[in-house]
This record gives sequence, structure tokens and C-alpha cells, in this order.
Amino acid sequence: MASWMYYSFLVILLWGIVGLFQKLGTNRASPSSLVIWLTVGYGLLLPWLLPDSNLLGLTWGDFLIGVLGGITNGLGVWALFASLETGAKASVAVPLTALNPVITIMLALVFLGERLTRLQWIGISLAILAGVLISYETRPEGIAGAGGLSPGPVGSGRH
Amino acid sequence: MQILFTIGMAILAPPVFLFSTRRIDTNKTGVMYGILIGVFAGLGGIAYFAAMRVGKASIVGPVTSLFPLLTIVLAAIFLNERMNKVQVVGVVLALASILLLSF
Repeated sequence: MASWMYYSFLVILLWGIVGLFQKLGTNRASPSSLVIWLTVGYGLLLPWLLPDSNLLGLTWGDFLIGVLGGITNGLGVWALFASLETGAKASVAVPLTALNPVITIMLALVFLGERLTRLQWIGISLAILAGVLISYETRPEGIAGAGGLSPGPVGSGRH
Repeated sequence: MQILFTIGMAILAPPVFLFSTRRIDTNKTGVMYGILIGVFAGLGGIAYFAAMRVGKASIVGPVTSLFPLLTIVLAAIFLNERMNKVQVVGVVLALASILLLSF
């Protein structure tokens, strides 16, 4: 197996399991507590990462962008935890939040002047439609008044 | 990048604590899941950058973006989650769009 394939399957495995743990975690702890504990989890990897890092070679701009990435990622995860805590299914919230590249592409269009390929335009159209469909909740049996379109949860991006 | 992300998360943690209930849940299972989320997400990030380094971004991006599929399968097995037909169509479209956006 090519090494990129090995790493890619590892990504799918780890991030796929994270989606399950996110739902299980919100059954046991508040969203803010989970953000704090997952930061501890991130921190546990530092001793392994620091020896190979080139932090001292970074510019302040690079440093700031990386840190801001962590902050926005944390805020997104917090929102995802909140949506899961309030009843969103993992099988619905995780695919929905994985649509976050749509926002990245929109921002790149506006601020970086990037242009989209035809496939990406189709992808954005499908993403919007998917977001609407995923948010569709059917009426629970025996309960009147529920159902219809509801806002879908939003949350984290590429971890 | 993973280290900078961790620093950003560490900066975020105190305000999250202050603006929420000001109480950290110490339920053992909750703590375990929280830490595991951080470790697994962090390791996944490292694997992602490693895959990008040794493979083509145009292939690695779409392949790795399929991770929600595994969550859906695991949620069906362990949480007994079921989606209605409209949501199933939505998830299929979402996965297709994620693939297209990665190109």
C-alpha cells in the first residue's frame, strides 16, 4: 500500500471515530468541559511533536495564523458539541459540519480573489441542497406539532 | 501546525470556562471521551499532513474527506441512530459535494 494511502485511511479511521466520541462525550459532559478536556488531549501530543517542530523559524504572521486556526477550530467544535448535546445525531451533524470547505471557498473568493472550477461550483450547489435535506426532521411518532425544516447544526472543520 | 492549533485551543479554553457555567465536568467517562477526542483528532491531523506531504493533494483531499461515512456507520452500530430518507439523500449529496469541493 502506498504510504499516502496508509496515512489517508488512518485519517478516516481517527476522524471517523472522533465523530462517535463527540456524541458519546456530550452525553457525559458539557460542551465547554469537552473543549477543555480535548485541549488537554491535544496537549498530550506536544512532547511527541515539539522535537520535530520548527516553531522558532516561523514568522509572527505564520504563528498568528496557526493560533487563530486553533481558536476558530475550538469555537467550531464547541458549537458542534452544543448541537450534539441538544439532540443532533452524530450521523447528521458530522456530515453537515464536514461541509465547512464551502465557507473556506467563499472566503477565498472574496478575500483572495480565487476562482472556482466548474466542479467546485457544482459541489457548492450540492452542499447547500444537502444542508437543507440533512436538516429535515420528520415528526416523531405520536407527537404532534414537530417536523418540517429546521436549522442544521454547525461546527468544526478539518480537525 | 498541530502545535499552533494546540496553542490556539489553550488560549480559547479559559474564556470558554469563564463564559460558560464556570464548572468543569469531571465525570470520568466524559473526561475520557474529551481527552480521546483531542488525541484522536490531533493524531488524525498529523496523519493528514503526512498524507499531504507524500501524496497528491488532489487525491488525498477527496479520500480523507470521506471520514463522515465512518461516523455514520459507527453511529448506526453503537448509537442505533437512524436517518429518514430525506436525510440519507442529504448525506449522500453532502459526501458528493465534499468530494467535488476537494478538487
